[in-house]
Order: sequence, then C-alpha cells, then structure tokens
Amino acid sequence: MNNGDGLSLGAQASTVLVDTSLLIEQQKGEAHSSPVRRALERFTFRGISSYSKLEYKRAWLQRIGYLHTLSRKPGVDTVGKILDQINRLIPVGHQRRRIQTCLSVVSKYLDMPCPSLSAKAQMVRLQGFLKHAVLAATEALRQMSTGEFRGTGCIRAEELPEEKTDGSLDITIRRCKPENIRCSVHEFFEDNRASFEKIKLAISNAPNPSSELKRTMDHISLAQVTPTHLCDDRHCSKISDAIIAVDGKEMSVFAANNDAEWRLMASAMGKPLLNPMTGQTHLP
Amino acid sequence: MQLALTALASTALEMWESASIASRWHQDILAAFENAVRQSSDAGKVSMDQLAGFREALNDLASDSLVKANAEVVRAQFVRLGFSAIPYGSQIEPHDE
Repeated sequence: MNNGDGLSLGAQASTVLVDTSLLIEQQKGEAHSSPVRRALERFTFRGISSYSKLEYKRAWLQRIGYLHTLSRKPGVDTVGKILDQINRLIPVGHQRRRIQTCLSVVSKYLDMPCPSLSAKAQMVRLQGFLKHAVLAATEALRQMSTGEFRGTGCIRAEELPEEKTDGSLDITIRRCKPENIRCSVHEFFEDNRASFEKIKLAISNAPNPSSELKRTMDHISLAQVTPTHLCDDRHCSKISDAIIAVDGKEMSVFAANNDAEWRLMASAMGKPLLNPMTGQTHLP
Repeated sequence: MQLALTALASTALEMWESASIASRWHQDILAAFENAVRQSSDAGKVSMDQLAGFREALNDLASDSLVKANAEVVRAQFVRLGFSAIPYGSQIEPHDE
C-alpha cells in the first residue's frame, strides 16, 4: 500500500476506471469532491462503465427526482405536505426512511432565514433546487469521464433523467426480464467468462468477504450455468461491481472509495486500486 | 470577500419571490445560481471564472424572455466551473437496492 494521492503509480498509469462511488463523490460538497477531482485529473483517460450510469441514477437521483414529483402534486404547498405524501404513498421501511432523510437534508440545506419569502416562493425554491440537483448531476455525468465502456449494451444506462415539456422529470428505470432480452449482458459474461471466474475465485479465497461480495459470488455461479440469468435486472445488479470491473479491465488503474469490494475487484483484475478519499493506493 | 458572498447568497434568496411568478427557465437559472453562490459562500472563496459565471447568470435573470437552452447553458457552465450538483449529498446515504 502507498500513501500520498496515489503518486506512486508511475507515469505510465495514464488511464483509470472510475467507479460509480467516485462519480457520486464528485457531486457532493467540496470536502468530498476536491480530493477526487485532484486525484483523477492527472489521468488523460478517465473511463466509466455504462453500468455506472445506471447505478448513479439509481443510487440517489431517483430519490431526489421522486421528491420533485411529490412537490409538484396539487395541494402540496409545504415541506410538511410532502412528508404527508411520503407517509401515505410509501410503505413503512427502508425506502420510506431514505426518502424522509433525503427531504430533511434538502430542507435543512435550504433553511436560511428569510421571513419575507412567501410560502409559495419557498415551495418554488425547493422545487428549483430538486430539479437542479437531478439535471446538473446528469450534466456532470457527461463531463466527468472521457470515455465509456458499453460491454453489456445496457439500454437502461442510456435512459438518463429528462425534463418533460410540463416541467416534470422522467427518471424512470425500466425493468428487464429474461423473456424480453434487450441487452447483451449474457454475451458479455460469456466473452469474459475467465475474468468473472477470477473474481469469483478471489471472493471465495477472501478471509472475510462482505455480504455484497458473497452475493456477487453466488450470482456469478448461477450465470456460469445459465448466462441469461443476468438478463433480469434483479440479478445483474447483484454483480454490478464485477460488471464494472470487467468492463474497464483495459484501464491501467481502478479508482473507487469503497475498499471493501473494490480492493478485491482490482486485485482480481491485476490492477492497482486508487482511493482518492484516503489518498491510498493498494497494489494488486 | 466572505461578506460579499454572504450578501450575494441573501440576494439570491430574496429573488425567489419574483421568480415564483416568472418563467420556469428563470427559476431554473436562479436555482443554479443560488446553489453555486451558496457553495462559494460556504467555501469563503470564488475564482474569477466563477465570478464571470455568476455575472452571466444574473444577466440571464434580468432578461424578460428565456428559453430552455438558456437554463441548460447556465447549468452546464456551473458544473464545468466545479460546483457540485448536490452539495448536501454527503448527508444522504446512497443505496443500490
């Protein structure tokens, strides 16, 4: 392991695979985004997997977009009424808590003293911020990479958030079923069978793999028997890190901030892992 | 500088009253502008390029008539100038379910 912003990688390390986690970090506040941008800017080619675009959208743009949708419903004219909608429409559970947390964080961010602002203006401001967050993050996705790998031909990754003519946002992520195959993830798996086997082996040899890694191993095993197993969106998402790693395996360096999964992915692909948040580089 | 940025953030906030009855493109640009100014104010610094971006956004806001492209250009420019889309996002735990 080396410290110091990954400077030990050498001059030949000019290409990097940027994981979804770092695409997200770059859209947070400066404390999160600056170290990532600094670490990545020295790479002449910053590649992302198209699968990361899907994750980026699913990880949080959908939640913010959902709040935007609720805020535009007739009769919803205060933050309290958005909360009522969340409680009415979303069953008790993780999803409801996540959306409530999201709303509370956004409201807190917007909470500047301005008694003269009417309730209507405050609501328009909230809608404006939510919409800006989704559309600016989408624009940022276009600017953050210099190239994209489309090994899986994931059509859902191409469905980026869009503003409709009535001002609403479309952040739908459609479902995929094996009965109606619309991508080439199964062919991608066949073409890269050896790489997926390496990842599976690395997980099985890991002393204490995370539950996410164990799940990845299980679904790789199922795909080894029937590759079209992955043509169900509930299954391909279980091996998302492995798909991204294999998609970008021609890159000289992998970069991510979730060491628990990515140290293993990078090691299995024989790549150094740069974590800009800790400034550490893990050699394979 | 900090004082000026704080004042600019307050001005942006007060502009929402008139923006609430303006076009949605005005609202889009004001949201992008306030988001950027807030980040500069929080950081206590702003670059010359970023200041130029603020100026352009304010010029647009002063226009009576705007179209979607105006809002898209301002949004893309603020992203290019290094402003985060979701600065409060560090408190939102991303998930992948």
